[in-house]
Amino acid sequence: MNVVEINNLTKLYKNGRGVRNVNFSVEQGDIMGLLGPNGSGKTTVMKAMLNLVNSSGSIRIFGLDLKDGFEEIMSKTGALIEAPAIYKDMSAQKNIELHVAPYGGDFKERIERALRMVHLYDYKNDKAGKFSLGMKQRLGLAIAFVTEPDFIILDEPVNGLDIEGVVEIREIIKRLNAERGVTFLISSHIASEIEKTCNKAAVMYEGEIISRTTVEDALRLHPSMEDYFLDVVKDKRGEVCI
Amino acid sequence: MKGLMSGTSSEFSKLIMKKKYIVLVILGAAVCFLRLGGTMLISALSQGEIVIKSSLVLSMLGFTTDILVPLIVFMAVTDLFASEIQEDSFKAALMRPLSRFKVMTSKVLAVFFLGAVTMLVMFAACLIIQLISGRGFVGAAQGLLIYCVDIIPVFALICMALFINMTAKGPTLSMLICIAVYIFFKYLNLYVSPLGQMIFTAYSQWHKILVGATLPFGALISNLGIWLGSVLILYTASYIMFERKDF
Repeated sequence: MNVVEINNLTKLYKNGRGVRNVNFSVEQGDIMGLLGPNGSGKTTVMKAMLNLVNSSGSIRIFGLDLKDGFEEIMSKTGALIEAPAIYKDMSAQKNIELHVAPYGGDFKERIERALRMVHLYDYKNDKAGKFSLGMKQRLGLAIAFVTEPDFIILDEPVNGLDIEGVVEIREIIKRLNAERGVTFLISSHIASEIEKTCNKAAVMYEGEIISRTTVEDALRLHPSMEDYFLDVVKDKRGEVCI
Repeated sequence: MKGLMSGTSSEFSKLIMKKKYIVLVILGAAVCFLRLGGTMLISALSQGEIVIKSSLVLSMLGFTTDILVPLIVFMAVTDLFASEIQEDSFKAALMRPLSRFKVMTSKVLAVFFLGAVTMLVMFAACLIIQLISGRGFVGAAQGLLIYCVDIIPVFALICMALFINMTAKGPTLSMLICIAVYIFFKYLNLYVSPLGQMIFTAYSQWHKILVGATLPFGALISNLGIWLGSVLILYTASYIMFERKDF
């Protein structure tokens, strides 16, 4: 069963950049990686999936059209896009409390669990504006995880994290996927990160998806995802000379 | 409905966590004291020949409805829209299970509640100061009714600020335009009466047409219609722009 189905997604900005005719699907239980250089359109695709930008084409998540079923979709979806959207003059805990308010129910335990998961529990009363880049990223991840969604969109999730943080987040993603069957869509411009975290990958280049594969298949023919990426994009930009 | 209420509650809690609103209300209460001090000073200077016994609650109404509350709601709308858009924290509100209409409406309602709370706090502060100064409950009951009635037209000012926030770039510019447009319309109302009466800023003291009104029923309906029309046009235009906005 497909959690995400995207057909002919197009979003062009005033400067002519954006994404054109993007088609892909994400199956339930997948950890799908969107691999591409900076400015290739990864974030735009993710923003369109969250209705943060207006786009044309069809986006269906959990079988529902994004525009018609937005509230139902978002009740089962967590996300971290670009720099985490946080209120700088509020504490980490208050930021999460504000996020979960429309969901209803008692989130006290889940908030504590999410804060512990990203190692921010000791800083829960500190203002988010005073956090380092890595801590803000951790808070953004806690917000994405706290409602225990079935589908999580993570845009460059390890941005700004130290080595330990990168490994921890990778382990959390894999654990949530294995234990609860959470489906992930993760973007990154670091091929090795996709290789270590995802089971499927799509390569984006200049606003288009130019290749889709399983990580296993890619590694069967290439020594690493980095080589796979360079091989896939060489027709578009020529050989990379080192 | 539940989502809208929880959204409104979240937005309201964001606003009251900002100290500047509390400071402004305290300053408003301080103005009550100054006014009381002024009347006592006049009485002392005239050696008791001039004694002002007017209700403090009613005499502070103009300051509250024409200056303090508009300033607070303009700041609040700018904080919840232009500032959040500039700081990139607006995405946080949009990545929850709430439609854009509910997100915008919850923010507007939160600002309206803040305006209402400010009005009631000012009423309470004036009444307390009035009691302390030994003037008793002069005009208190009527004052409460008037303060409650005058909360309603604030909604039009919020819609105006919302529209400006949707069109202007940046919080500082939005705030400046809000104040400039408000002052312009206020002066328009004072000096170009027929035209001024057709703009919603003419109704910031609604009690004049509703409490003990001598206005003909037709004129009353006409005033309500102009106010409601302004609200609907500004709100709809703002929503269309908000719906088309990329974040």
